[in-house]
Order: sequence, then C-alpha cells, then structure tokens
Amino acid sequence: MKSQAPSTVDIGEYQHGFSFPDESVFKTRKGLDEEVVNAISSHKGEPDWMRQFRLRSLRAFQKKAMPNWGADLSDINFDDLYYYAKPTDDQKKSWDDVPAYIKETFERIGIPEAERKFLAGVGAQYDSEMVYHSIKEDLAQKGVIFTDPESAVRDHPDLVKQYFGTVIPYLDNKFAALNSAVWSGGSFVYVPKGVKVDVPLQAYFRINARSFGQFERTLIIADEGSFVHYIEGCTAPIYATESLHSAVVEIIALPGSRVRYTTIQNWSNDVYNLVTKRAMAYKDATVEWVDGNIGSKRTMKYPSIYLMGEGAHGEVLSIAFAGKGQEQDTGGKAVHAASHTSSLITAKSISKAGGVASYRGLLKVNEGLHDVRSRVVCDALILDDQSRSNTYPYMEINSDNVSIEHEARVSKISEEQLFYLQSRGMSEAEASTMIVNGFLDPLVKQLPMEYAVELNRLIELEMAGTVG
Amino acid sequence: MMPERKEPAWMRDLRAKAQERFDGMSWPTTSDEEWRRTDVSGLNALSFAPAEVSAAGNPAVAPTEGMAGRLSFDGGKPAGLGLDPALEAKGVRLLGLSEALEEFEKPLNDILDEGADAADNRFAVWHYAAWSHGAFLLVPAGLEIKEPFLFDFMESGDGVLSSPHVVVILGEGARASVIHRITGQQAEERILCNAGLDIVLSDAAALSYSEGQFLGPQSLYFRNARTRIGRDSLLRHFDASLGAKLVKTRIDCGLAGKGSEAYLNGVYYCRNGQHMDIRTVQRHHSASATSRAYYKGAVASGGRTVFQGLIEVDEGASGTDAYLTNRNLILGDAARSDSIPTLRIGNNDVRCSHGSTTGRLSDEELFYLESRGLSRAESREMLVVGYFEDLLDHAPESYRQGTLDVIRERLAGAA
Amino acid sequence: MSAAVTTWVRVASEQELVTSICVKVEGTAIALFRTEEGIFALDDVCSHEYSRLSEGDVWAGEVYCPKHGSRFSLATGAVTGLPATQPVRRWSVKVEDGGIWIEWQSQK
Repeated sequence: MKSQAPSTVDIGEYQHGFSFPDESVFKTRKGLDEEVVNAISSHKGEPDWMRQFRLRSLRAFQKKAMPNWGADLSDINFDDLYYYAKPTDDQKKSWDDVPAYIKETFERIGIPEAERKFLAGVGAQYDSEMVYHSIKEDLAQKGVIFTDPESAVRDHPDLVKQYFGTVIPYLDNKFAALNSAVWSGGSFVYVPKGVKVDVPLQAYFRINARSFGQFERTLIIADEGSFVHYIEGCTAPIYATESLHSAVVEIIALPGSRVRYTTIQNWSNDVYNLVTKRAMAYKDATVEWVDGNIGSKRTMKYPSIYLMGEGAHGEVLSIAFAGKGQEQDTGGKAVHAASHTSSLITAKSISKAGGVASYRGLLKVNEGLHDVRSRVVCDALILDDQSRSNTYPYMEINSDNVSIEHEARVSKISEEQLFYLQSRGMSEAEASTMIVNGFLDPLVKQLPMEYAVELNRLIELEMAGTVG
Repeated sequence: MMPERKEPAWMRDLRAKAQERFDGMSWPTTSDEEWRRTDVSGLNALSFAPAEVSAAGNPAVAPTEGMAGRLSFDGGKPAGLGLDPALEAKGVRLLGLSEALEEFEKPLNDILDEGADAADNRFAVWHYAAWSHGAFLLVPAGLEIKEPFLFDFMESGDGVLSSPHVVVILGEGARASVIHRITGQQAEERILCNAGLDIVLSDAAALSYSEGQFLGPQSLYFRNARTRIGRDSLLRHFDASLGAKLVKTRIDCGLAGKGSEAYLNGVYYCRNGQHMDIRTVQRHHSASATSRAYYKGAVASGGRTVFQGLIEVDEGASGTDAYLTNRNLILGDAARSDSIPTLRIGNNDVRCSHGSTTGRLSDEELFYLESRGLSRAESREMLVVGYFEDLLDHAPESYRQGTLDVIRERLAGAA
Repeated sequence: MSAAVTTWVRVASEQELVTSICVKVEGTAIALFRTEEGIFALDDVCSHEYSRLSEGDVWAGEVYCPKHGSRFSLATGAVTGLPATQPVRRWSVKVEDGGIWIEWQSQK
C-alpha cells in the first residue's frame, strides 16, 4: 500500500512560513509520539502556543484509558496507523482503484459526474472556485470567516486562542486528546453579530481544502444574533485509506444566535469513526445538530448541547443505520445549566443484517434551576432477527421545577403496514423500503433537499442489500 | 467470626464457597456502572455484627383471621409461626428457612447455588455467606389459596447485621399471595439489612408478592431478589421502599417460559437524608412472554433517588411484549433524581418500550384544589396519594392502605 | 436554620503539601493546592463526574480535573471550563504553626 517510510520524518521539502505548502510530499511515519507531533506542527508552521497545546494533548492521549463502554474498539492498533499525510497529486489513487460498490453507489444516488472523482479522492481537487465564487464574495463582504483551522491559527490567532479547546478540552476523552494532538484540516467559521448566512456552508466547497480528513477540527463561532447552517460530509460513501477517524467539532452560539450543524456520515465500512461534538448555547441561542450515520464499521458520536443561558434551546436529530458488520453507537446529550431552557432529542435507528444500533444519551439538569423542559424520543426498528438495538438513556435531574420526558420504542416493521402495501401491489422489499423511508421521514425532512433525496436513495440501496 | 450453626453439609459448603469469594473481593466502587451513583466507600460495613443465632424453633402462634399463614422474626429470632391446618393438610409447607434446609435440600440447594453464583457484588456474595434467618413457603401443585401469607420481619439491635432470605416455591397451577414487611423497631438503631429473595413459579402458577421496607432512618438496606417464572405463569410483585438511610435493591426477573407474565411494581418515597438506588431487570429468555415494570417515586428536598431499569431480550425471544415505566415526582428543591431505563434487544419480533418522566406537582392542579377550600398541605397530600394510587391498584388491600398511610405520614412530616 | 459554627481545623502539616494532596474532614474530601500565589482548598470531588481534583494539573490559577478537563478557579471554586457547569466549594485556608488549617463549617 504505502512505501516504507524512513524511520525519521523527512522534512527536507517543506517551507516554513505562511503558506500551506501544496507541492511537497510529506507524511509522518507510522505511530504517534512527540517527534511526530512536533513534525506536524512544524510542517504547518504553527506558533509555539499551538505546538504546546498539541504536545500537552499528546501526553493526555498517552495517559488516558480506552473507554470501557460503547462500541467494540479492541481492533484498533494505534502504533500501526499514520497520523498525518498531506495529500498531493503524486499520491493520488487512480479511478480504477476505487471499489466498484462505491462507483455504483455514486451512480445510483445520482452524484454529479464532476463530483465523483473528487469524492473518491482521485484526481484534481474539485474546483469550487467558479461555482461558488459569488457565495464567497458575499460572505467576505459580510465579514464571515470561513476557512481551514490552520489558516485561522495564522490569521485570526486571537479568536482561536479565545475559543479553541474551550468547549472540548483536550482532556475530555482519549479521542479528543488524540485529535487535539494531531488535528489537521476541518473548518473555522466566524459569523459576526447580526449576520445571517442564508446559504449552508459546506466543507468541501472551500478552496484549498482536503476533502475528508482523519482528524478534522472544526470550530464555529456564531456571534450575537447571527445564523449559520454548516454541513459536513455527504451521502456518498467515502473510501478512506486510514481506518481511524477522530474529529472534534466545537460550536459557540453567543446570545441570540442560531447554529445548525448537519452531518451525513457514510464512511467506508472499515472505518472507526469516533467523534466528539459539543456546542455551548448562551442566552436565547439555539443549536441544532442533525446527525446522520450510515457508514463506518464503528461510530461513537454523541452531539451535545450545553445550555448555558436563559432562553437557550437545543435539539439533536439523529439517524443511524446499522447494516451488516456495523455498530452505530450514537445519541445526544443535553446539559441544562440555566433556567428557562429546553431541549429535544429525537433519535431514530434501523438495524439490519446483524447490525447493532445503540442509543446513548444524557439529559442533565443542574441544581437550583427552574422552568426546564426536555423531551427525548428514541425509535428503533430492527429489521430481522440477527440484528440488535440497545438504548441507554441517562437522566440526572437535580432541580424540581422541571418537565422531563423520555420514551423509547423498539419494534420491527408492522405486519399490518407491510400487508397493506403488498396488497397494493408492492413487493415485500419495496414495501419495507417505503416503510423505512417513512420511519426516517421526520428527520430526513430537516435536511437540505439534495441531501434528503440522496439519503432516500441510499436507504433504498441499503435495504436492497446491494451496498457494502 | 461466623456464628456456629447446625446445618446440613451442603449449606455449610455453600457458605464456605461464598465466604471465600467474599474474602477475595472488594466493596463496589463508583467505577462499577451499577454503583456509580451510590458511594458505599464510607459505610464500614464490616463493623456490623451478626445477631446471635437462635437454636430454638418458632413458638407456634395461631394465624390471624383471614390469613393463610404467618411467619414472624424479631431481631432475627423466630417470633411466631402459624399455618392454617387445612392448608397444611393439603401439602402447604411454611417454615423458617433454617428448618427447611434438610427436608427441602433438593430445590433449595439448586436455587441458592444459582443465586450465589450469580451474585456479582460483594454485598450479594456476603448475603450467601452470612444469611441469618428467613422464610420458606411451598404451595403444592393445583392448590389455589386466596388469603395471603404474612411474613413479618422486625429488625432490631444497634449495629446489627441482619441477612434474611425468603424462598417461595409454587407448584404447577398453584396460586398464592404473600405480604412481606420489614420494619425497624427503634428509630435510632443502625441496622445493616442485607436481604435476599427467591421466587420460583412452575408452569401456570400465579403469585402476588408485596414487599414493604420500613426500616428506621439510620439503617441500611440491601436487597437482591431473583425470580424464575415458568410457562404461562404470572407474577405480580410490589415493592414499597420507604425506610432506611440507604437503599440499594435489585429485582432480577427471568422469564423462561412461553406465555409467562411478570408485573413489577414499585413505589419509593425518599426524604431528606435518604438515598435510594433501585434496579429492576426484565430478562426475556423465552418467546412470547410479557413483562411490565412500573415504578413511581417521589423525592423530597434533600433526598436522592436513582432508578435503573433494564429490559433485555435474548435472540430467541420473539413475540416479547415488554414495557418499563419510571416516573419521578420532585417535591422540593435540592432533591435529586436520576432515571436510567435501558433496553438491550436482540430479537426484532418484539414490542419493547420504556418511558420516564420527571417533574413536580402541577401548579394548576394545586391551585384548583386550594380554590375548593383545601389547605396547601391537604392539596399536596391528595395529589401525591393520587399519584401513587394507580400503581397499587392490584395489590392486597391491607398492603395498599398501609403503604399509602406511611406516605401520608412522610408528606406531613416533610419540610 | 441552625447556627453555623465555624472553626479552624488543622488538616495537614506544611511539609505534607508539595503540590496537591487530599485531606478529609468529617468525611468530606478536600483538595489542597500549593502554588506560587499561595495555598488553596477546594472540594476534592469534581462537580462534573466525581473525579478527584487533587490529582489534576494546576495551571495559571486553575485546576484541571484529570478525568475530563473541567477547570475550576483555585481562588473561588468557580467553574471556568467545560464539561463541568457547576462550581465546587471553596475553603478558606491559613498557615500557622507549621500546619495548614481550613475554616470548617460543621455540617452536623
């Protein structure tokens, strides 16, 4: 697969300074230690404070134990992974290398020709410049910053220093520590006061962006009264070369702002996807996580909202599809740290062909609060008798003036519904698919239209069993 | 260290095995998932000493009117045993557990061995090593008994370790009901009560088992209940947790026969300074079984409750119909209530749900009652009693009344 | 409301406290910290998930809980970093006669 790397890092080609070098070949060796982290930081030309942050995070990663709950992670061999690779033209794969099922899925989902090679990590980077030129101009005029985190460290150090690592400290958990040590790529978004960004911001339309990194780090700051919708990922299956992905997403929604963060994850089915996502919603702010998990071998992800100020509202909408060999361990957390706050968590999951879908969530209400309302609804469909569904909700309520509701249901496709649809001429497979799409509909409706369409098609494929 | 007991060899072996396990274990810590919210590190459990073992049998006592039988203990010593002679003639056996060991070696060895093996924490293992007294009830096949049996366990003695165990076995098609009270004689006494319960229902048997725990406010109560339910049998279990400073209980209900039904109902009322951690487990091993766990609690200012419920459905358990409901009523600020209902489902042909709500008394309802002339205290009482009432609908009348009365008392005394 | 009685309780000798230790008063675990700015005392139990602050790193007047990185001000006990959202109790400290004393309010 990869050529044998030298035992020490070859950094002869990179340039110090302010540009993000594109031409050089650069990859650290396998395994992770101080030398590798230092190399990453040097290659990015980072100031010392970020280098020190990475090194402290590395130490935390080395000390922390693996979680003793959640999906089965026993196969991960940390020493046998690459933690940083800057892709260049020299390194690109050929279209022929891309697995057939991925090409077929692109076809069936209806991904535009132009995007396919880009999404498969093949060939020239998708040139978004022409299509999105006007959008970017508009953003720049409004003062919206939408760039990669490396550029943010360089160009907006004050903002970064103020917020980076404050929502998810590097000590938070082993995989946050890992990301904090070796993060590369991702997005940095700052929306000024009162600015409403009407077009959803999407990572891969940013110029100079690598498409889907292993250790992406995203930081979104919505200043007072602003609005932004950020979209990560896409329905197309992403053929990953490295099997461990550990992203960190931090969102700060300042008073009166609203942030919606949509993710559709469809990593190839050899990927371990361990993500820490958390938002702080201040006074009268709203944060919405829309989280779709279709791919990967193991995903552990629990988008969280900390409601820090009165009038804050948080929502998590989660879809998980666990097919053959997959374990989706997902959910959401809401922590109420202020009165007059509300939260809503809706999670729908489907398990099929031996897949395991687990909901894991936390609803916490601090002491001394009043007028706190929360509702959690979990619906699980198990499509056959080899598959499993688990629900692990935790409610910790420390105030009395609250209204907290939680319900969860697990079932199979209703026989009556199947019978009815079949009596209208559908095959069992068609009927099942329709019912499953109907089951997911309330959540799919929340997605931008092209995603919704793609997602429906993807579900059809999964149901037909022709994918993966 | 261990009191001298005259027991058959199999029991001595069982205790010895448990003692060995006990010696090699440490107390549960907050790193253990089931004990995360109950910190027992400061308890100094070993400072509690078992009461003297009484060699004397039970003084016979005529059963109370309207009861099938009665078994009492006072401070672990037998304090009365009575059984309706007509029932005895039909084959019902009601004995102190110690007396039943010889005659009923076959079922008891099996049941207690299984329980000891399944014990997964130091308190539960301790129970098998050190159990001190208890009740044994056997109702033969086909016999249906309307009147309830009463087990009256009065605990006493400051610094005493009391480890009672109850075994109830119903033969095929038998029907019976049991009311089991655990009370603390003196309020100031600190008693560590580490109790166990085994219920075995043969096919088509039906049992109603109502427990009430009313220990004093300084006592500690640990209880592990296990049930084995056969085909087409029915269990109605009621559990009222009202006393003790620390409560950590678990009922593990295994549904191993098609058509079996288990209804686990519980009420808990937690006052200032009390900590109650209650767990229910519904395990569906066989197909087509039904289970319902319905637990309602109220926690006053300064109290802390934890409810952990699990529905687990094995791969082969198609046709499972299981439901778990937990409701928590918060009666004051500075009250803490945790609710963790979980599902582990391995079969798709099932109907499994759970629900949990937490909130306080409705302002509108309170206002309405007060506007009809009731005082604030009367309104609260009416709403709180009303809140618990439906859960106790199918419980024996005396048990129901007794439980609601104690709740009224608690409410009245609450700040 | 009962009258709160406060007394000074000697919890450790000066030598025992190098950077941080945990002491117990009437069953309550208290973390003592020694920094350039002085000696501080906070509840040892993190308000997030019951980990021990006495085992955490101290940086610029704040202690970082080792379990998940929650931060608390040594001077006030206020929470300064997620995932904790509630403060921890803070105790007044004095050094006298080679010992470290806490101003203790009896809970009984």
